[in-house]
Amino acid sequence: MGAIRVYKGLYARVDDAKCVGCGRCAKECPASVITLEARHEE
Amino acid sequence: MKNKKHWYDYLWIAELVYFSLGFFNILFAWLGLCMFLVPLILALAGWDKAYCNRYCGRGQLFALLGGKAGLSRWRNVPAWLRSKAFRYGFLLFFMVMFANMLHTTWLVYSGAANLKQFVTLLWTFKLPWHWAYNGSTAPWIAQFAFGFYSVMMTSTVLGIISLLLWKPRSWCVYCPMGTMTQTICRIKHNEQE
Repeated sequence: MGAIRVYKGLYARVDDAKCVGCGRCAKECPASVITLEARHEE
Repeated sequence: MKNKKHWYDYLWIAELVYFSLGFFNILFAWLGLCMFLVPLILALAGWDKAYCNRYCGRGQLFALLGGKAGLSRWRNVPAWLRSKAFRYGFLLFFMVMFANMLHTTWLVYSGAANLKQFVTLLWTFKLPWHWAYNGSTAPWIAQFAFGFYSVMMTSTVLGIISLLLWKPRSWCVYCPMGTMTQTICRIKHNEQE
């Protein structure tokens, strides 16, 4: 746990450094407003 | 990695206890006022949507029924359901119906109407529930209980319909308590900025 947090009770914010793209948040989100996007490594 | 279970992960049991108690004695419905007041108090105290996030037994129950019990179709909710217009509109509708319930309670209190011993589901279907009141209190106290229990049952049924149609916690998208709590958060955080 810990890559995604609810900011001030208003909306979710993802910590990019911790996110591993498991997709659980996108699956669970009741409002279906989270999508996974490919991270482009430099 | 399994998350460690805490006491608040079992609050869904309180939901089931609430509905069971109200079946046998409608006066227990008054306890539901906690589920109305605590989310708002927590938000006002600076805990934001802590009730929604962690303590809502209703949300936990829906997650269990939809997830573990496999009842949910896991479809995305339609865009109109998560729109501000619908969420605030539904809150307004809920408040009007709640005010109507309070008015009925007032009529019984003032003697202008008799106690109506049934639970109204979805503001439409009157379910007989007379066995749950034994005349032990003033009629208006029972009338409020019948009305409040009706509101709680209606929102649970709507939540169950939502989890069947879309995702387990779809009710949370338009739950009036969630909309009010989020509004408190917006106002509080705007004041700080």
